[in-house]
Amino acid sequence: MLEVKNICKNYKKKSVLKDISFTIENGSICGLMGENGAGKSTLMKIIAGLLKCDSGEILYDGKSIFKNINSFQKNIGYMPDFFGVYDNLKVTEYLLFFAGLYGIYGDEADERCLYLLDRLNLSEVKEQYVDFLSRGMKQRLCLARCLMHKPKILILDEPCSGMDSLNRTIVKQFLMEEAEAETMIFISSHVISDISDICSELLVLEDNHIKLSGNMEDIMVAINEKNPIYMTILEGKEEAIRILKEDPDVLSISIDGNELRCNIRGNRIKEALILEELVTNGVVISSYDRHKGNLEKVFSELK
Amino acid sequence: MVRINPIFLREMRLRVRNSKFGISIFCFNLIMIIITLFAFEMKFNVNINENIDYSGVYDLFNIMVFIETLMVIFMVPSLTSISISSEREKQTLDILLSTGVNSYSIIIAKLAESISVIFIYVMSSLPIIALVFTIGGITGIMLFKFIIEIFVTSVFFGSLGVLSSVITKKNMTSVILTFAFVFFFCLISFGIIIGVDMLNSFFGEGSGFFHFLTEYTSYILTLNPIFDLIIVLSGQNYNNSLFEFFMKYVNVSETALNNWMTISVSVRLFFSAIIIIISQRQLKVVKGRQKS
Repeated sequence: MLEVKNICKNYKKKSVLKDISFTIENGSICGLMGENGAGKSTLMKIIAGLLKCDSGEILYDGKSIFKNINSFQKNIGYMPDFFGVYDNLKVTEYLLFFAGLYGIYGDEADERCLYLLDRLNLSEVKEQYVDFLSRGMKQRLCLARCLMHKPKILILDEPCSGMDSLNRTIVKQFLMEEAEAETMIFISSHVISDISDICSELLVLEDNHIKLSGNMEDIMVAINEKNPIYMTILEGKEEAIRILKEDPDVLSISIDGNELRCNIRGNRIKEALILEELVTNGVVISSYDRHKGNLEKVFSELK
Repeated sequence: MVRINPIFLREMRLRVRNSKFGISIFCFNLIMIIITLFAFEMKFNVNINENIDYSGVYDLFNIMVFIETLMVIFMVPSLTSISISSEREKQTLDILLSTGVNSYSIIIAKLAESISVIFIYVMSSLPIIALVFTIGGITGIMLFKFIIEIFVTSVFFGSLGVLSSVITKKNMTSVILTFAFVFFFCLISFGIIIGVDMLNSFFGEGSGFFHFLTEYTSYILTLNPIFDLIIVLSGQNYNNSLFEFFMKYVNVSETALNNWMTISVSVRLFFSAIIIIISQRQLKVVKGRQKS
């Protein structure tokens, strides 16, 4: 478990991060979102041990990472928001170089290298010089480099920014599998679908502090709670309207033919209870659905 | 099993893969050949000289060694001064540091690569230097001393280059700073000795603060590879005009002068070790407290 506690960072008296605290569990994918300059990359660099914070603490499995940063760094795979590749090396040489830095040599390194190249759709270019790779390929190569030593924590700063939709899907699928294997993933992106598709946790930075954080499912439920419920009534429309009007948690009702649209105050349990009451009172319902919200709505509401 | 430092391995691979490397070895040896053949002709061509003085082989050797050392003095800073700053410019330093690799390993690998490259140049030129052995007079010990001198000069200026590279952000700034160090130790140090001697003469020789100063400032030359080379090449009899010129200003004890190479090599290696430790700590600071 990674615990970030009250992290503050200033650059030349200007606050970049203000009292940042959150926790990431093993095997979870935490998405970090925020506008440019919100402090995402700075926060990632601090967690990767490349920047020292002015105050606060980061604990990994209960121990401060700053006390033995080198050994902590052996557990992480950090991918910055730039390529950071050596152009005169071949793809396999590049990966084997980093394998060597992590103390992985010989057959073990070769096998891991081939596995990652295969998984990230780079096998065809393994003998090519890095210089000749496309932007998306370089991004995937950087990701493969982060994974050479099977890290317990992956810190990825906009890993899919240069990728086409196919490779974006490959990477997202791969990251989800890594998370299933108990790898903790901390990922930032400006693309909302990248975050909503794979993340189990969400952290939104705004003006250098945390604007929103929590479990992705809870956040989505919270978004959906404000959305109207649509139901198509086959029989007992009048009864349904009466029941809904009498319920104090039903805020509004609108009728369009056999379709009812109502706003309900409350969570999914309240939603289920209303449905149960309608059914037990003989109302025949052919469809019942709450309009699904998305993270974009969260952002528009945050602003 | 002994593993070669992967950073050293990668640096060497990138270096030798670059076509400029081959071209630079060719140019290095071409300069050596041109100068050597010219000096050889001047000393041993029967059409130019009435009498052939075979002791001229010493002058020939001195010229070759001096030229080679000068080239090394200029090459080492250019090799090392961008070692860390180029990683920073390419934005690969953060990635390297995020792997948890020891900053000492990075510094040593960069320095070792530069010294290895210098030795490839020097070794490639040995057949040219071997020309003097066809005449005789030059011993293997002289050649060995020259190799030691090249090694120590590479380590000293190489470590200064790495330090500059660590403390500066841009390649250009680092190169300028490294050459400023080289300029200081190779030329300004002579200037200081001469300046202090002139002040001593002006304020009255043999007494006071400036006399005291001439005695101690002379030891700054232990860090000067050119002065050390002059002494090495002068041999036991110090029969070298350059040596005679500088000895007018240098005020060191007879014992120190007789053991100058040992002292100079020890002092330069000692300072190199300190510079490497400072560079390593600076890189660690970059890792922990990078300023943006």
